[in-house]
Amino acid sequence: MNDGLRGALVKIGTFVATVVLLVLFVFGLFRALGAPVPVDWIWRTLTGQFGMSRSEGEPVLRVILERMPATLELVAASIIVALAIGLALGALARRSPPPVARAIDALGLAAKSLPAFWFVMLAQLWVVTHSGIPSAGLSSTDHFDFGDRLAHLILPAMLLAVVQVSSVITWSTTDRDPADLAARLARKLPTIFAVGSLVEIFFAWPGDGRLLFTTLLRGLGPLLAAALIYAAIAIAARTATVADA
Amino acid sequence: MHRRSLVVPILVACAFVALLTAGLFVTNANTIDDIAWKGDPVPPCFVNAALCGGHLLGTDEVGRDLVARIVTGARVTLGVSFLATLLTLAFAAILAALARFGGPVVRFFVTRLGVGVSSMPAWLFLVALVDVGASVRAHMALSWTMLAVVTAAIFWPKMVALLGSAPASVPVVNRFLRDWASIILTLSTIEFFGYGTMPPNASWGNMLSSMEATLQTGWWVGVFPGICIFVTVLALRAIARYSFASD
Repeated sequence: MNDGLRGALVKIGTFVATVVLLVLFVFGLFRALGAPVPVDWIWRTLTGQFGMSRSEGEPVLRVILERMPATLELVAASIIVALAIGLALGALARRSPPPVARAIDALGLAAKSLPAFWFVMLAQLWVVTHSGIPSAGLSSTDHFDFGDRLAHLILPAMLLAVVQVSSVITWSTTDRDPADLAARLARKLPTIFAVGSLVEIFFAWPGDGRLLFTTLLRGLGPLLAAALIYAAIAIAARTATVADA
Repeated sequence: MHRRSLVVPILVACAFVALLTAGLFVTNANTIDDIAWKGDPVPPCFVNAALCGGHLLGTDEVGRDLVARIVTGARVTLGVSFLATLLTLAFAAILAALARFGGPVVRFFVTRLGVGVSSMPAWLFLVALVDVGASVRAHMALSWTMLAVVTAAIFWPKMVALLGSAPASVPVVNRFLRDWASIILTLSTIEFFGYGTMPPNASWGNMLSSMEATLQTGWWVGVFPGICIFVTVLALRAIARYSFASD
C-alpha cells in the first residue's frame, strides 16, 4: 500500500473517531444535565437520522442539506473577502514602519472582538435605513441574475469576513506557509459557522443558520443536528489540513 | 518584539474589581423611573440635559437606569464568565493529567475529543445545553454556577492542548485571557437570544435583546451595553497579545 493511500485512510479513521467521540460527549452532557436521551440516540445521530422536522414535515437531515448550499455560498464568499482584505493589510504591515504594523495588528484584534450579533444587527439596520443595498435574502428575482445575487451576497460576506481577517493578517506577517494558511482557516471554521448563522438570522439568508433561528424554539433536534453537521465539516477540514491534528 | 509591561493588565483588573464592587451598592437596576419616563427611553444627559432626569446614560424602554443596569450586569458578564474560565482551567488540568499519565490510547481520545468539541459552533452548542438544562428543571433558568459549569464543559479543549506539552505560566495566562474573552462573547450571544440570565436581572447580553425595537426611539439602549462587551473583550485580548505574548 502506498503512503498517500495509507495517509488518507489514517485521516478518515481519525475523522470518524473524532465524530464518534463528539457525539458520545454530547450524549453524556445531556444525560449529566438530566435529559432523558435514549441510548439509541447515539446511533441514530451518527447515521444522520435526526427525526422529522415539525415545521417542514420532512426529515431534518433533508431540510438541513437543502439549505446547505446557501450557507456554504456565504461562508466561501466571506473567506474570499477575508483573504483579499487580510492579505492586503498584511502586505501593508510588512512594508510599513513598526507603529503602522502594530496598528494593523490591533485593527484585526478589534475586528474579531466585536460582539458579532450586535454589530451585524447594527449594520443590517443601518443598511435598511441608509442605503440602496439589498438588506435581506439571497436574491430579489426568481430567475438567476448574477448581479442581483452578488448585490445580496456582498454585505453579509463582508460582515462574516470581519471575524476572520485577524487570522489572515497574522499569517501574512509571520510564517506565510500556504499549508499553514489552510490550517488556520480550518481551525477558524467553527467560529465562521457560528457567526455565519448570526449573519443569516439578521439578513434573512435562507441557509441553515436561518433555519436554526426558526426552529430554535421548536425543539432541539434540528438545532443540534445542524450544529453537529457544522462540526463534522470543521473536523473534516481540520483533519485534512493539519498534519497531526 | 513585545515588551512586557504589567501596567495595563493591572489597570484593567482594577477597573473590573471596581465595577464588580460597585455592583454590590446598586439597588435601582430594576427600578422604573416614573417621573422621567414618558413611554420612550429617557435620553442620556449628554444628548438632552433637560430631559435626562439625572440618568447619565439614559434609561431603557421601560424607564430603568442604564448605568445601574450596566453595573449590575457586569456581575453576570464579567463574574459568571470568569468563573466559567476558572472551571475551564480546572477541567483542562484534569484532562491534561489524564492524557499525560494515561498512556497513548487515553491521550488519543482526549486529543480527538478536544478537536471534536472545539469544532462545534460555540453559541449554538451552548444554547442547546442551556435549553435542555432549563427544560429538565421545569423551564427554570440555570443557576449562575450551573451556567458556568456548562460553559466550561465546552470551552476546555484549547487549554488542554496547551497544558498537554510543557505548561509555562505566560502561555497559560495568555490562553486564560483569550478563553475568558471568547466566553464573554458566547454568553452574551445566548443571553441576547433569551437564554442564560433571565429578566429582570441584567446582563450586558440580555440588555441588548430589545435593541431592534428601540433603535428608532433610543439608540443608546442598544449601543452602550454592546460597547461594554466590545471594550472588555478587546482589553482581555490585547492584554493576552501584548502583555502576555506566548510566542
